Amino acid sequence: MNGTSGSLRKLPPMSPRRENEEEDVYATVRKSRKKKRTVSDERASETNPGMSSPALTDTDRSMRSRRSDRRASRSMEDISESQQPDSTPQRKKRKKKNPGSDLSPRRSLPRQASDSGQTELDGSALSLQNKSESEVTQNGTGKLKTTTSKKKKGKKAQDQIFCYSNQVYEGPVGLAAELTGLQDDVVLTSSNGEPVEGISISAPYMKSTPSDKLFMEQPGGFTSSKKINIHKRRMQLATVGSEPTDHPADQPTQTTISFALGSHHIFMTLTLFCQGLFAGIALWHIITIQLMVNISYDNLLSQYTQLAKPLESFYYLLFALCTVAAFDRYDVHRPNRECVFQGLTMQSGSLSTACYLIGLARDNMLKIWTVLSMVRGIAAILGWAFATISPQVDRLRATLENCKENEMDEERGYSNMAFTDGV
Amino acid sequence: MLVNRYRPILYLQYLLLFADLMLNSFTGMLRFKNVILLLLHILQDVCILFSAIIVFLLFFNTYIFQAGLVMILINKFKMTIFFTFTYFALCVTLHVWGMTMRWPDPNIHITVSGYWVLFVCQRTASIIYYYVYKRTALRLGDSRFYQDSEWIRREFEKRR
Repeated sequence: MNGTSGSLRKLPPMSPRRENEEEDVYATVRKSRKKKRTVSDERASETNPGMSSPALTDTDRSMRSRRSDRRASRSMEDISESQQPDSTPQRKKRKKKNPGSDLSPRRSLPRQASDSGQTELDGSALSLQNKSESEVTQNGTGKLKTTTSKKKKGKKAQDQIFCYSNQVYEGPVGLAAELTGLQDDVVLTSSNGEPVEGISISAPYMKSTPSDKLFMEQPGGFTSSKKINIHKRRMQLATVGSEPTDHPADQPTQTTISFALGSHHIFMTLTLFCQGLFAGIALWHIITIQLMVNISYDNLLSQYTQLAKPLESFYYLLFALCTVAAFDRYDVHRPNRECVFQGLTMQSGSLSTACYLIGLARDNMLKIWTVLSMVRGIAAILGWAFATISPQVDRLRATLENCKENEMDEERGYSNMAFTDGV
Repeated sequence: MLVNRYRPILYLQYLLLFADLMLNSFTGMLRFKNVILLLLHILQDVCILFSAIIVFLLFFNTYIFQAGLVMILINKFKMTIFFTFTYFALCVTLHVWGMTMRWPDPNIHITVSGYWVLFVCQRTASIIYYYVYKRTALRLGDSRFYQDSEWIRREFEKRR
């Protein structure tokens, strides 16, 4: 509130002591200026009757820059004053009462010109203010009163430089100062909570008015819809009972663990089929090998080698799937010694799968190979048999579901052992 | 973690696992040219590496890891980490050895016993790797890893 008045942009006080210092400085300057005032006033009256002493008004303005209501009243009085041709002594009196009277014309000026605090400090800025003031007088409205001679402006500048000597003002000048000042203007308010006059040039243009539209943020931007329509839609959906599609928060969210469980269920279904297929192929394999061996080994080799490679590949594929399913079913990671046998039967098959190729080329190894193939086939069938005895056993699923339960247990304060042990 | 983020990650992990299984099964059949064989071997190794990277990224995403309790996570999933790297090492060794021996003629039958021993080990390790990796992928969907909880705070206090 104190920094936004008129052309003299007062710095926001950094500390109470500083304010006092300012006031003391201004008091001394004011005393020294009293002598100058009369001279300047006379000069002012000579040049332009509607002019007031800038030196006096500047110092007085700085003294009372915080009183916004007084300023407002002063502005009114200034307007009334300017409308009447005043004699210099009367004006002087009025100015004593309302020392900040010059604020109003300054305030009414375009912001660029009026609120730069450094215009008095900088010569170039001074000229800017001079120009603006001359424009002001040329406009000839009731608000405008003052033009000052450059000489006086210069004097004023000197005075103000003197009085600002205790303060350290570092910052941009001219238009840049205007724009930097805008931030402070938006933040500061007067003591009674009213927005400071002239606080922001945008205030009259950006008034927020309540409208009947509700704006919703979408991925592509904002969409608006009338509140009445939204309400109607909600009422309709409530009566119909369907899930509202425009309220994503109401939709039941699938948790990650439920998705994981779903995928695991699909895997178990697939592998159940694979276990059956694997057992069937293993049985056929056993029978074929036995038949061929019974005829002769050469016969076996000549007719079997065509099938060997794809069979081996397919065998391995199914074997891997079934073994993993067996492990999952009985959760080998956390062995409970109950049904580890299931996994073992499948596991033994892996070695025999590997030995497949070894036995293939060597006659003396054919017997070993035959035996191993038999073992593997029997293991596959047994594994499938064990799976079918209790097809609903799925310990991994139980473990995963345990995670969900333990979430709730945690809320109730129970300890979740399944989560905390090493696996 | 949101389902929308977890779903593609899980799909990708399943895909990589399936690709590895297929390559393991059918590379023996597809010995047309040594270059093709080489390409398939490289593809398989890359798949294993990618899956390892994804698992580690999932680890880094967890609240436990971000809170600093790295060792807890490593202890929980030490089997996964161990078997992933073991399987990768076995695969690379087997592929390099196999390619060196098969480069002149991809269809020759390798007689070195050591190769087949390694082959057996790689096949066994692959089964365990698939199981452990799938289990880890599903367990990392547990939302308790991604949220603050009483249990995590207790662990934190223990380690202070």
